[in-house]
Amino acid sequence: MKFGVGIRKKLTGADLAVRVVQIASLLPVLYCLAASGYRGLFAQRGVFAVLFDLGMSVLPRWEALGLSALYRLTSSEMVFTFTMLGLALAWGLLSRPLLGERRGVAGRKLLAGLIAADLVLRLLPLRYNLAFGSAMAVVGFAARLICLVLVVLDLLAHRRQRA
Amino acid sequence: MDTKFTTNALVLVVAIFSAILFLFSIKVVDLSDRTAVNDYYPIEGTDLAVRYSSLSPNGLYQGGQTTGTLVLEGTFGHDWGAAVEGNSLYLNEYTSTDVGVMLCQLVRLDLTTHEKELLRRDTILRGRCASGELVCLGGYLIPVDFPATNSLCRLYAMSSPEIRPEEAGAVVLYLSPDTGEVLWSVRDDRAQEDDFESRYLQRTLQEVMG
Repeated sequence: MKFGVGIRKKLTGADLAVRVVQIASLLPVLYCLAASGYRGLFAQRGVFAVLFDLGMSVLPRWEALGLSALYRLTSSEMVFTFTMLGLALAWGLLSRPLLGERRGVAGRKLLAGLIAADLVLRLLPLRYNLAFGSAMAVVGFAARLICLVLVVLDLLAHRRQRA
Repeated sequence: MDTKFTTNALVLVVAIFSAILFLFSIKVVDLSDRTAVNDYYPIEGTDLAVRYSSLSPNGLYQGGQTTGTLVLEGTFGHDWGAAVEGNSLYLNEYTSTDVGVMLCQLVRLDLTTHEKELLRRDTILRGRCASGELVCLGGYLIPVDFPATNSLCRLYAMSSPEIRPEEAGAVVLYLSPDTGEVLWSVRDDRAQEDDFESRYLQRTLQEVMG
């Protein structure tokens, strides 16, 4: 069986990382939606606990803090949710030009650094930081580790190509 | 397969469903708040009264119960917090978010110009102590929306280091009735318990500090 038939462009590690970041950035929004739809859903767990349970990366955690500040400023769930969705969409649309041929290597190194930092952060002995405390956390950790490997492989392939 | 389209389309789909869910949530909250009320609570020492009404806007009214005119629109508290000092009226204002989470803040109203000034967010005025200072609770969330039962409140609480929902604590603030500035404060994890009046309101500031 042949896989990937009809794929116009090979999915590189950097592309995959962009998508992981984009999808991960939706998690706080989904959390807010769930919270507004059914207030008791995460009643027994804190935001940080939920975010860490989901194995979210550094970016969504910062997003959640940013959202809370925006919530405080506007008292509007609509404003912060659609701001977040707009940013996620903008990131998806702009990532290709930003990670294009000219700045591709720098962009991939930056992504590799961010993912590596996130993985290290996950291992720090913080209050809610149970990197392997749940199945979702393990999956999240593994997904980011795979992304890191793919991005590094991208960089190595690019170096070999230039050599 | 263009996976870039897929992720961007996913964001768009989430955006569309977000809009639908929010509009639905707001409608549900609106429909569930259709209890007919027409309450009128005069504020001692002024010719103003707080009115909650289904027929006219909530707010501060001047004049009689039936002939009063709207001075300032908003949802103000009448039960705990209303203190007059000179030309200033201190009182609690309740603000609602899109899906109905209620937040409270301390405001000051100029009794001549009827201009409102926000003094402190997430603060509720509990009254005056024996020596006359305004006694407030800072880092306060309304119990019905307390983070233990409301995730959006928990998210909101993340925006302020003063709000500590996990410990149900609050900061007791003593404010100058003349300037509205904080004179003294103390963190008290039992601040929201029933004996607040005997521990803070029935004593002078000096006694509490001592």
